Amino acid sequence: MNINETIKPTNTISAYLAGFLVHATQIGVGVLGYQRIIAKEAGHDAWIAVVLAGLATHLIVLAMTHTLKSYPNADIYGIQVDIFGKWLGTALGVMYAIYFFLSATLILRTYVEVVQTWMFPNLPTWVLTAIILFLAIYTIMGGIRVVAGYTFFSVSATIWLVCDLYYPLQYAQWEYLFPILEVNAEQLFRGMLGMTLSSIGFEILYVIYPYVQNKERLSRSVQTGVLVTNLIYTFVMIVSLVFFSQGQLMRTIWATLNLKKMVYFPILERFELIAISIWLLVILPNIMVYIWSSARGFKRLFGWSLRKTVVMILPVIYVICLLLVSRNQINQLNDLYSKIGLYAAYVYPLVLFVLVKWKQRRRRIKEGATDANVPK
Amino acid sequence: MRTFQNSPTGASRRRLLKLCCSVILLVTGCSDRQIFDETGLVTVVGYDLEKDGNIRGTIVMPSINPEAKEKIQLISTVGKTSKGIRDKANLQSDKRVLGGQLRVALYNEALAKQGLGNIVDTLYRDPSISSRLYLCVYEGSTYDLLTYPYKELGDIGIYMYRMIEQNVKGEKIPSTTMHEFFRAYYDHGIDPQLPYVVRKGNEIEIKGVALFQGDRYVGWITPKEAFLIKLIHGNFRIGSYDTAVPAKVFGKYTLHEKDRKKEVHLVFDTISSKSTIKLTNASPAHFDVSIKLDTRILELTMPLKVDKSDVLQIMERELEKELEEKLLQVVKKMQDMNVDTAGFGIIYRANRRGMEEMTVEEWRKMIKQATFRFQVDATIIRNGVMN
Amino acid sequence: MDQEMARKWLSNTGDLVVEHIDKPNGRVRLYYLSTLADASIVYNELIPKLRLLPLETVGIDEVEKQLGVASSNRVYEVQEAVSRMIHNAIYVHVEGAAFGLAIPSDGTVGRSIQAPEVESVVLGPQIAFVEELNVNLCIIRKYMPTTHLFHERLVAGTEIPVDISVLYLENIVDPENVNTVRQRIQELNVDSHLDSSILAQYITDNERSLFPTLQQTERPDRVIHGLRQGQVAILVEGSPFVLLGPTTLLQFFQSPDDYYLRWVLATFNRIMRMFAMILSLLLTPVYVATLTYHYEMIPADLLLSLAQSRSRVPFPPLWEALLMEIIIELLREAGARLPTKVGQTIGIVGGIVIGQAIVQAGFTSNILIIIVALGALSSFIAPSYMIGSTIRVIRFPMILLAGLLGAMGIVAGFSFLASHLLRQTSLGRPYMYPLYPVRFEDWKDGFIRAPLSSLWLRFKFFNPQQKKRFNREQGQMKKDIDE
Repeated sequence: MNINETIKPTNTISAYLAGFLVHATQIGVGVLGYQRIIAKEAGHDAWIAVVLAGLATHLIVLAMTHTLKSYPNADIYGIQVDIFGKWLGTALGVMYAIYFFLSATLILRTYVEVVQTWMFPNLPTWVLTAIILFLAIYTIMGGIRVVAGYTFFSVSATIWLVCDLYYPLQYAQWEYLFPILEVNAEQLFRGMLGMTLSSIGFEILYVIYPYVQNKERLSRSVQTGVLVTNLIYTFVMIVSLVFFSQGQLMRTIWATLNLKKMVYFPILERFELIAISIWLLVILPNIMVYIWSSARGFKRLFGWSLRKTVVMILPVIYVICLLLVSRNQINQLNDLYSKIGLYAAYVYPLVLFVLVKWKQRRRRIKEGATDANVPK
Repeated sequence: MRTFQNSPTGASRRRLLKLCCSVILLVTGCSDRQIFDETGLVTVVGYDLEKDGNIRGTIVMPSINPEAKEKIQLISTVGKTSKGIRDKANLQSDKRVLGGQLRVALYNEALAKQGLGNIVDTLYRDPSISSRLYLCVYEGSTYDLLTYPYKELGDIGIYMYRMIEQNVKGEKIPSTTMHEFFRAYYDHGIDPQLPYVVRKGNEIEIKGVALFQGDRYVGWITPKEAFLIKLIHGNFRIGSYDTAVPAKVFGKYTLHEKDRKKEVHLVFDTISSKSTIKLTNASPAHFDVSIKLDTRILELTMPLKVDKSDVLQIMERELEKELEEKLLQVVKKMQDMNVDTAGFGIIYRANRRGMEEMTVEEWRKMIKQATFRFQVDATIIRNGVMN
Repeated sequence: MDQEMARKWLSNTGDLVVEHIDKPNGRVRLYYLSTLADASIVYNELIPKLRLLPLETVGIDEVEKQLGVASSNRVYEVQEAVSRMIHNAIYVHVEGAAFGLAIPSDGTVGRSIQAPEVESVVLGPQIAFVEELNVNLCIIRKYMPTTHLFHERLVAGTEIPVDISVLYLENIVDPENVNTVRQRIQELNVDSHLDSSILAQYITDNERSLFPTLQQTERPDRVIHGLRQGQVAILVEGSPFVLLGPTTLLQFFQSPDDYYLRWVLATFNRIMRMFAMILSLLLTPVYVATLTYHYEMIPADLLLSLAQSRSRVPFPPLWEALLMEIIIELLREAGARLPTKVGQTIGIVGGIVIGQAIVQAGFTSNILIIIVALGALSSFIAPSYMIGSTIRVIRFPMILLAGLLGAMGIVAGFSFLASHLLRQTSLGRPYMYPLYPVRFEDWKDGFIRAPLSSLWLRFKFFNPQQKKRFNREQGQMKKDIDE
């Protein structure tokens, strides 16, 4: 296996699209109900926890870009093999691919759960899952360029949904935010951990990196993408805190949707039904990018064809989705996933960064030594 | 060479298409439809407490049957839970009774006194019911209110919805959506309030605002008092207020000598206000409320020389004095009722650290012992088109 | 070539005429197809001139000189002689000569140039292409007097060859686009085809897609505009429509009118068109979705009137909507097939009689009538007939999806549409350009139509060799106020 890869220029994507991809993968089903999880820990200071978690994300993404920059054109699968050797590297790569695959599954199932709760209580899981997976595979078959294009469209078609927060803001009770910073550091930290599930997604940068055209602009665009995500999360969090009382927020599972319940237009009421439907456009890029990343892992590690791998992955996702029946199971798996995500997306990139830098320094010293030996 | 035979991918695509078609066909059979004209669209629901402790639910749906004489369809059933009532109502209807268009929910006084928490909770839990649903307390039995044959009101549900909405938008009564009721109910710092509705013969009237302690109804106040409560903790944009002052305060500015002994009625409208509440002492709590208020004088019952700026200043002073006095009264009334509709608890919590977990008892005790000072700063910015 | 041979080559055709000069079985003979060649040339020019020669001894060189034709008219093979004759030529044969002469003549069939009917505009030239390739080329050459106009002639069809002309400005066009077009036409392996619409289906990037990926126009100004921007034009003998490629989805919503009107008007029109397309796709599905699944979304003001209009309708909303849409489609198809005058009657019958009666009979709600009519109207706004038809067809799956999954179905449909469009290419170039990949500088002549002076760059999509159309400085006045 080659650690670095050469990608045909016709398959590459511009740097700004990498920012879109990262942003779109971060925003998914988490944003529909993250408020309660964080407010449980950090109370009315939850927005501070969101901001801090966002800053942490910026830092991790910085570490990731620096890790990737140490190689000419490698992705996580190549780097792991380089650092840990063939066996361990492949094992870690498989784990990462499975993690991506799990992400796609959980996002899909959670979204279907939301639809079943809010819109169609009797709609069988297998129908909606099949439709969403069909839409995803149809796009993935077009390649990363089409996936990136879809992401771009989905972000531009849904970013305006932030504007409808104007309606709940009419009911704002700004005193709910005060006194600022009442919680202690431990509570804040636990609140930040609660953000994991919502803010992971940037780790796909590890996989799309070789496909990015002008890599010198990558860091800026990805950081912008993360920044937009953080601004949205912070804004929605603040609106939720002033819109709900704490006791009410603790009882509201999908607070964002409850916010949207207050939106109405002269020709249209109950905006949340529209929002849930449009949310399909938000979660589809998530599912596509994760499936693609996972399939790409298998291609890199074992040389399987991308098309075949995607076709193989889909039934597995489908079956797992059908096996998750009750809300409890989904929640448990989401909690587990959140813990895995914390290590896979926050802790591990830092470790990898240190290892890569250390290895490079050693290599440089070695080369320097051999260079010095040559004249003799 | 470009060939036009079916490639193997074409075959698999066709298989995929077949799969899709079969999926779609199956969906038709199992998805949950709620076809508009096969649905009983409940627009208003009334809940009464029966003597045996059961709840009587009365629902009103617009009757869209062109052959029917009545514009509305009424169903009333008795049950223990609101969903149980709905299930029973289905037995009396040719259409599926659904609550997605529910706009007003009425509770009778007896039920409200018992506590609305659970019954509102079920409404809030149901995603098909709007958060912008208006809740109301009705004086007598809502069954009588809804079954009364009104001649002019059309669909009673839509009528009541428009009535409340119009008054909320005109800032005549505080906004009382289900969301706001719930927010206050789950907050240890503010008590909910709902419109208090009565029927006078052929007419339905919003008589005042019902005050709650937690989810229990304790008494009602006039719209004027409700105005004052909102003045304490909230902003006005188009409020209105009327008052009467003795004519002698205007002294020489009255046009006719003989008027001096009478009272002048003043009506202020397009009131925009902004209040700032300071907690100047923590224990016992002392709240310092200062209210800035811009208004327009709309009506005077006595000709005055309004072109003199002194007259407007006198009016302003009188309005301030009147408001400060009434505010103290209304706060006293709330303290007597042991409710905190104005939300002083929120202010208290926001201004003190370590109060996040304030219990209901602590809060009630704090309010009981609290003292208040009001300072109103009124400005009359306009006096109509004539002097 | 003797008569037998000619008859054999021409499948024993009845319209072959063999003129013997002076006497039967003379040495000099004229062959032509009486249905194609201009007989007046034969009798007024060729025969009198030939008579002046000593016919018993004359050689082909003298004949050539006497007739005053160029050497390019020499024909050495029987096959070629025949093929020239199929193309209107008169073949002059001298016995024993090494070659014959094929004298071109005008065809006798063809209609005169008329005003465009499919793509009519208010302002701008009122001239449309006709079925004859040479006339069409003449029109383009006439309005585009430049030496850079490059004309390539290709032939396609294994059984019956059809002439195809590929036109481009060689100093502007991206050679790769020309190569793609040339290659696709040359590699065609079909027996024959007649029309540019059929050719477009053969050489398009994705034949299975509903969306056209080559522009088709009957307007010379549109072709000239495309050529100037760097597009490749394909003309087919026998077709009044010219193909332009590569193209993008947005270009199907642009009309030549946009350049004749002031930029604000043109921009307004363009935005209107796109809005109309979305409306056309959304209106009926939203009605179906709302009434089938999301009755909660109907506002209080609409509730009662909608309920009353629906109360007598016996069908579920999905069937109601499909019924109305099919009626509209029937009316449209009937109007298109019938002669113009009868077509108007169809409009009246459809619009008034059926529309009125159907509501009175309680088959459909009057709100749906408004919605369906608005949707149909919007789809007719499309400046390109092809994209209008596409949109009309897409509406049906959309309505079905709305009837099956409500708002969810509509979004799923749009999502599929987005993926599908993103996967399309036109001559290998992205179809959704400049939306994706995003090139804001090309939005100036995409969504909007910026003032002409600011359109100083060519559309980047065509990858033109010369990026600039003119220098911006010249277009702008750099004067101070009151100077």
